[in-house]
Amino acid sequence: MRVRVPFGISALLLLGFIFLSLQLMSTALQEASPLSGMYSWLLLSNSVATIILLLLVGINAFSLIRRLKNKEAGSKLSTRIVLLFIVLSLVPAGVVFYYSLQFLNQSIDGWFNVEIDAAMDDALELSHASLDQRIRWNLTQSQQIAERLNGKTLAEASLGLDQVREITAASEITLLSKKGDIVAFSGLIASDILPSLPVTPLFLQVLQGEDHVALESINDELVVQSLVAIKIGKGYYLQIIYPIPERINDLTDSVEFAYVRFQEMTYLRHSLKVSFSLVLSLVLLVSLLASISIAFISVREIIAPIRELVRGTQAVAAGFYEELLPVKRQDDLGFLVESFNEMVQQISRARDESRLSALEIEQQRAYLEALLSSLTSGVLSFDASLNIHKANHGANIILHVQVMRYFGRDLNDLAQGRPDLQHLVDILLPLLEKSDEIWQRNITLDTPDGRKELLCQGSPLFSTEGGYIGAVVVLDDITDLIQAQKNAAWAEVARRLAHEIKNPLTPIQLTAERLQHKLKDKLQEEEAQLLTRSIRTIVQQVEALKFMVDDFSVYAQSGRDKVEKIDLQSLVHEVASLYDADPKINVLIQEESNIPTVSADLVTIRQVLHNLFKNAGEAMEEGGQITVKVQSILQAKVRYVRLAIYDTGCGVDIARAKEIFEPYVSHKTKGTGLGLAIAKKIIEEHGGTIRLDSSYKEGAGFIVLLPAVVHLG
Amino acid sequence: MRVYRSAYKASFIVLLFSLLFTQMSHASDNWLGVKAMNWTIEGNSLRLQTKLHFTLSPDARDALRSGIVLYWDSEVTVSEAQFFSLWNRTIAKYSERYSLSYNTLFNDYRVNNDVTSDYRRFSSLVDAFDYLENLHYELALLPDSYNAKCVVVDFNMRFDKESLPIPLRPIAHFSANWSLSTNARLKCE
Repeated sequence: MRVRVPFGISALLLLGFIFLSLQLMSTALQEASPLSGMYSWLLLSNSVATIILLLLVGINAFSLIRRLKNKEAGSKLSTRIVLLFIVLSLVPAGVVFYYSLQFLNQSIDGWFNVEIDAAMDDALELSHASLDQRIRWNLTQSQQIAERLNGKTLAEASLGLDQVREITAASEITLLSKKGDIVAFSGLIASDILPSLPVTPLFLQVLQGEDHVALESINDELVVQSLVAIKIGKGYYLQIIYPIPERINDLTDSVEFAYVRFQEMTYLRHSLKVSFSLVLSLVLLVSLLASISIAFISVREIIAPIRELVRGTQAVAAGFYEELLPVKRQDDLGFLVESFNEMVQQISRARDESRLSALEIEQQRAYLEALLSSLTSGVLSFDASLNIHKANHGANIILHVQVMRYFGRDLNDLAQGRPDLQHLVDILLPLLEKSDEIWQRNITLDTPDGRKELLCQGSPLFSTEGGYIGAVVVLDDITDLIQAQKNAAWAEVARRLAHEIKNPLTPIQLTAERLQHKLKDKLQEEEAQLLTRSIRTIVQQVEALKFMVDDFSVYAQSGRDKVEKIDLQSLVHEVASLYDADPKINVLIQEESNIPTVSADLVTIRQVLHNLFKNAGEAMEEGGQITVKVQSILQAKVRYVRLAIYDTGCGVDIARAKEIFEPYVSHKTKGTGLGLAIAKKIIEEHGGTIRLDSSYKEGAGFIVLLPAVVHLG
Repeated sequence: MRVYRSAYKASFIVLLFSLLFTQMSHASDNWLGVKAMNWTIEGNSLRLQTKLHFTLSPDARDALRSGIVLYWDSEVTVSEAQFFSLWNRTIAKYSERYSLSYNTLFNDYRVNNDVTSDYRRFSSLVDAFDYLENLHYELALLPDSYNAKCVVVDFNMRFDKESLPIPLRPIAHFSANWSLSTNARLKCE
């Protein structure tokens, strides 16, 4: 199983190693330290560690910038805290670094002043001068010994070496031939059987006649080596080595060591500054990077619950209340998260309750709307400014306008472009403005479908606090009701007329005819003619009365005795062919294909067509054209067969157009005045409508709408 | 880590490190160089004669005159060439350590061979260089390599920067003035 070390612990471990390495490097900077040999490696490892830290900081900074760009939650706060950390660590560390560097440089410079430098030079010069004096004295001593040996034999000279050595306090005296061979030797130490010989170049120098004396180091001891020529035989050379007193030797060594050390330190002065500055800079850099890394880690820890909170807030804003935030801490932020969770739960509960309430309100509203829509009555509601607020479908049908387009607008706007509604608006507005209680008014409205009788009932609306919030007006189309009442009255009249008038007509006619038959031969010629004319008049009027009573009977009868599916096109052609036979009349039928059938009483519908064709024919006494249009239309989602009949006759007086469907209303001299009334009654009994087409100006035009039979599926 | 997903950034870091190490190993032959190198095999030993170009940078001269001892490690490696110089077999190896110092009291320069304890004094730096420019080595070969078909001789004269005083080491590692090493290779034809 892989154990995953948390990032914070990893970073702290890394920082620990880095600081340990810095401590080791600081120790290694001392010459005598056993770690001095590892200085470069420690420096390298610290540099690498610093780079790693730098990369870590860079990665964190990059991540933070990216989160900042993406506008992630908590990124701005993280940036602020990190910047605060950086500033708080950089400023004091920078100040300490600056003054430490100054102090360091001044301290190093303080080691090297002119006086010490001059003293070291003087000490070295004094040491050299002392040694030079001794060298010169030893050379003089050697030359004096050479003079004493001059002229002696080789044997005498060789035997006298020990004595000479003792006199001169030399450590070694060696007699050398011209070839450099040892002729005789006398040494202070008995065990030394071989002398220290001069190097070849030195011997060659002496061969050329120059005496030699120099300071040498033999067996790590300073000595004065002198080499002089002696005149014995073919010529020999005497090498005398004088020891330097131990005290002088030690002093010389000490001075030289100190001088060299000082020179070395002087040379390393700049390097020392660089090294110390480098270590100091590394410490500063590591400290800074460490503090920034800790800042990132700390900020991550601090921001985590805030980010959770922001995430939770966003979730709540998006409408998700189910998920609660985990409470991982017991500090203030943990308390905040707990409070947030409680708040979310409360909001969730409130939202659920609100939803339920809204649902109930919505259901009630939908129910009310459905109720209003199903009402045949038109309902208009107004706000406190008497602008139209709501309207139901019934209002649209009654007013022949999409009232919803005028929501929020004045009632007068409704009448714009619809002059027929202006009358209604003129009556309603004062009532709405002035009435503080329920009112009722009958209003007659001339619509494109004809005259309508509206029963308007209005009521002001008040809020629960009692404030005026608008008004509601209910429009009831009572045209049909009134018409039905009229029809019923007329039917009753017709029935009574038929019963009361038709019954005595036949006896009257028979009596008159009998009277003529009885008296025709008994009266004078002139009187008989008068009787005949009178009787004829009586019979004709009785016939007319019978005809009129028959019409009344028809009017009083139901028009839907035998309902069946009829093809209106065929029926139109059948009736039209009768009137087309008249040479003065030209019948033109314009029809669509696939006209649906209608469910109607064939006889009565045929009578309607006859009445309309007859009307048209009578309107064109001098001839003309009857145009019949048969169409299938969709009106208010209901399929109708539309039958329009136009003539080119004298037309209908607009002033009387409103009452032409009333019984006994006729502008013609003949007829009963029941034709259109009967037609209207039959059509309405079939669920259809008939109206005068007021837009047709070349004569009279009637439009009949009959519901079509719709084949489902 | 996401930051390294970008090849561009990764290549930039590699380039940075490359430049750093290029600077560290800059022009090692400026002050030291191998002019000539001859070797002969006589019996079971290999004799190597090297002719070097040996000078010191001003910084190194100053350090020397200030009493700082300079050390070089010379190493001769003789190997039997194998397949495309891969897995060469070492048949002889020899190393020496030289030090060059200045003695204030005697005002001379001294070259010391730490291995042979050979100790020489020179009155001038040029004489010391002359000595160091002409080095001779004799290496005993492994018995089974006398008839080696192809012998590769590597000579390496490496300046020991780690023997410098501590404050000077970081500078020596990064400064071309302290690139006082050289090497050469001779291979059979």
